[in-house]
Amino acid sequence: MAARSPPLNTDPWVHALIVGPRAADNAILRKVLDHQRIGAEEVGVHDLTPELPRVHSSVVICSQEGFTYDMRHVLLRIAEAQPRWARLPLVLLLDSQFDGATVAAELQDLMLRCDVTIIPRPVDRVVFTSSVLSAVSSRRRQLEIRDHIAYQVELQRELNHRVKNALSTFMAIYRISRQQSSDLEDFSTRFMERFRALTAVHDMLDEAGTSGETLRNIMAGVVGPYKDLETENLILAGPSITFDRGQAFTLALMINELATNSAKYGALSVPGGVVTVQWHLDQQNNKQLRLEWTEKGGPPVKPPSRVGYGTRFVKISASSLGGQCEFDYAPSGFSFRLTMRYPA
Amino acid sequence: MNILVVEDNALLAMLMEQDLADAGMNVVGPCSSSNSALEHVHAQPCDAALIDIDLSDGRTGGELAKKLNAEFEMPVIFVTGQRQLALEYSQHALGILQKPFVSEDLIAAIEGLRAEKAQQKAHFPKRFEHF
Repeated sequence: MAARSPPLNTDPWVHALIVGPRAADNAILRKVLDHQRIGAEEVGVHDLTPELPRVHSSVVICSQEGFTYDMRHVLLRIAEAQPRWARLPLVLLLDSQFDGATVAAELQDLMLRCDVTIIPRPVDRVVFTSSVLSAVSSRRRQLEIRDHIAYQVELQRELNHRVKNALSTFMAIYRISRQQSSDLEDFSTRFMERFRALTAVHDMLDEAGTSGETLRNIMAGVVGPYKDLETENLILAGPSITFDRGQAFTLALMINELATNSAKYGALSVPGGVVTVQWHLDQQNNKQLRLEWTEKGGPPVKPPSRVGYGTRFVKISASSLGGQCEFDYAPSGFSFRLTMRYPA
Repeated sequence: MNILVVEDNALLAMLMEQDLADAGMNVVGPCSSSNSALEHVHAQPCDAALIDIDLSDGRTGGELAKKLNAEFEMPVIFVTGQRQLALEYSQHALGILQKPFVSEDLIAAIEGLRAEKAQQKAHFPKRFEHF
């Protein structure tokens, strides 16, 4: 009965290293390996070292002729040098009368450190095929574990990085809120508003996964708490465009400054005041995004006497998004314009 | 002393700018990308650079340090949470100030750099790792 199983797919890639086969065995080996599309090469004892990188992604097939004292020694060294996630799959083609006390002891050593399959000669094609397939899939599984470990390490690193960023950001909003505040209550309000804006974006990004977040959702998340359903004091209008994690946080904090300022002194501070946020993409002009925040119906606007934290922060945010911004303190209503390349 | 600040987190950039100005230093930037940093450096000579690894144009902080070090002989301090990535560029920087840090750490790191440049005894803050 010939092996009818479909050829194994080749990802992760596993290779067969063949040591010392006799001509008759070699023909069967080649046929089976070819049929299963497993790459193979004949190697000698001197080619095999634990330093050979492909040793960690290979199975070794060794016949009795190749299974010399030196080879057993080399195989043991390779087995000991295997990474923690790996055990070398070793297929041995041995004569039935094969024994000898020394070899048996060494075989036992090998069996402790490798996944050894012994096939008696003459080699039966079915037995050989199933042994090689099982060796290859065991190796492939090990490589999957290797990749999984690498992925976990990368995730851990990314998580660490994000935690450090989050801590830095909280420390920064703490400092800025403290510097701006006259008393503890004032501090608490300012800090919590910023904290809330960051949390809202974090929740959104969490749901959106890695694809980023749309500008509309960022807006809605940050200014949502100021929305009055009856008076329609907030109008958001613009096409669907997305921002990555870092940009989304910057935008959210920036919009939060505008919103809290408006809720204190501007259109959002009185009934009947309206804030309109509009954005559009200028496809012709080097893919520019223009965003306008316009306030109407609020108390008369006076230009600030000095540049405050809010304004400085919004300006630095705009430049960190690769854009520029303008503030207009017209008496009839404050407005703000952001122009940036998109994608940034 | 002119200090180039390359940091894409606007909040941190703003606070760094403020801390350095309070300590009597002149801030060039803050820049959020390597490209913008290079433009600033060509327009205004800097005595030192504070550089994050992750910037708005990608993980380009290491390459920026290499360039500033080689072309302008500018001493660089990495200010980042990405220690592993910073270590890959250790030969192009004096050290790394790990995030999060407080203002005193930042100023102490710059003072340490200044002392070392003047071949005086330099003291660095705890969160600073000297390469």
